[in-house]
Amino acid sequence: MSSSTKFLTLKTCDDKKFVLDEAIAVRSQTIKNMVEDDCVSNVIPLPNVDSKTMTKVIEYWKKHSEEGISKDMLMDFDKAFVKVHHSILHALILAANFLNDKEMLDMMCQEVVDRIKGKTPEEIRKEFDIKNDFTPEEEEEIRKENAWAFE
Amino acid sequence: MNSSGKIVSIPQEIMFAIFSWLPSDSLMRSKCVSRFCNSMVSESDFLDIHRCRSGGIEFLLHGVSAYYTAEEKKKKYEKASTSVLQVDGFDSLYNCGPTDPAYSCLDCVNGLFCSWDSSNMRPAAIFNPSTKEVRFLPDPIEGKCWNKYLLGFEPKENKYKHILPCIPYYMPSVCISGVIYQFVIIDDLSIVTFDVKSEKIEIIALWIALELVYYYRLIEVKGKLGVIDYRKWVSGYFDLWILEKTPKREWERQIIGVPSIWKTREPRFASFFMDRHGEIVFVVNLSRGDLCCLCYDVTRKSWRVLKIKGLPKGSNINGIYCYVESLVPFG
Repeated sequence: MSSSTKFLTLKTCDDKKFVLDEAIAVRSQTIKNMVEDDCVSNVIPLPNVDSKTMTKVIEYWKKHSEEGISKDMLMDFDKAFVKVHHSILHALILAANFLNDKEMLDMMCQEVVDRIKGKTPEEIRKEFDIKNDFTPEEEEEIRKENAWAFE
Repeated sequence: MNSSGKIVSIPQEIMFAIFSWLPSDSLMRSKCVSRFCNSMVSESDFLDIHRCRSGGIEFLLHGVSAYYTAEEKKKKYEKASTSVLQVDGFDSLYNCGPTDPAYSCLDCVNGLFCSWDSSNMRPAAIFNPSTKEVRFLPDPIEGKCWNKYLLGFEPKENKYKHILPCIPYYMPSVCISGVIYQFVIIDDLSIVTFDVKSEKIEIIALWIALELVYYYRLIEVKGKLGVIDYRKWVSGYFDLWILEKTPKREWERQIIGVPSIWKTREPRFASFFMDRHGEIVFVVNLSRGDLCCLCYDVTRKSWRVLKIKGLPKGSNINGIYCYVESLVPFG
């Protein structure tokens, strides 16, 4: 471990650049692997992440890297952090997945779980933008099989 | 979105992850969302992961004219020791045919319970507390005194089997890796093993000749058969005998200390069992109100108290069982 602070430059798909302390950026397993394999030249391209999403990701990383921050404070931060429109939530999930930050991905997925918990199939379709490809008879059949879950 | 209903916006592996965190009822509802969701949720790999994810421990409480299910929820930021359990009513079994918990017995294998009544010839029932499915077994053959049902599970073939051995015995059996273990009296007290797949029977001798079976219970300990001897509870310990898997079938004794504050409260061992996190759960207080359990973690060798709260007023619980969630419908 080197003691001097190193900075990395991340470039999002919309050509915005973010300069970030390496110690924070390596919360991303993807970036960490690149750093360890020495394949970091000047700029790390992030072709799957846009700048708006990356700003949120960095906000999360910085908060979670703060020294001496209490568990309660982090919990409050996380709670507020996930209260976003579902399109942003989905973008964050894709980013966390690409950056391979398991902690963040799990938290975002948990939020989706909380949102679709207790919802009807129709509401779940809306949340994920899924098309109902069952015939009415098929859907009725599955409903019947799992009647207890609809009580 | 493409024509097969796959989700383009969120990759399938993330959908898999998200759905694996859903509670069972939401999950079963989500089968109606699309063909992709239905087939994903029906996969056994998915169900295995879902089972691991739920994190909590599921309990079945057997009361007079009602069953309850309870779940210990472990939350990320909460201490595990102060768990509050939520209780859902589960009484469809009683609607089909009431049984008196004082005379009926329960076996639990891999998420399914087998309930039978030793006091009369009512057919036994198999039920799944996760999906609340109930199925009655064929009527016992008239004139034969079957009073013990065994429920077994074959993990390799993922199949359940119920059998009617002619063993006049009421104590619960244990099913480990496709083998059912049950106390039996053949001159001395022994253990009979029954292989669910091959239906082969074997007799295992105990470490010494035992007389009173009342104080012993069979239990699964990390894939091995264990016998708990709790006669010395008030002296401050209990014995856990583990059947080693060597060909010699040796018994290994473990003496486990009981914290001194609990010594005087001899558990009502109507119920004790191994939960899936490797804790032996002793039910100490089966009276009205909150139920109190002592849990011994076999790996960490530590004790904790578990309280089951939220039971309806005046309910009387005769037994507590631990089960793993099983969302596979009856075949």
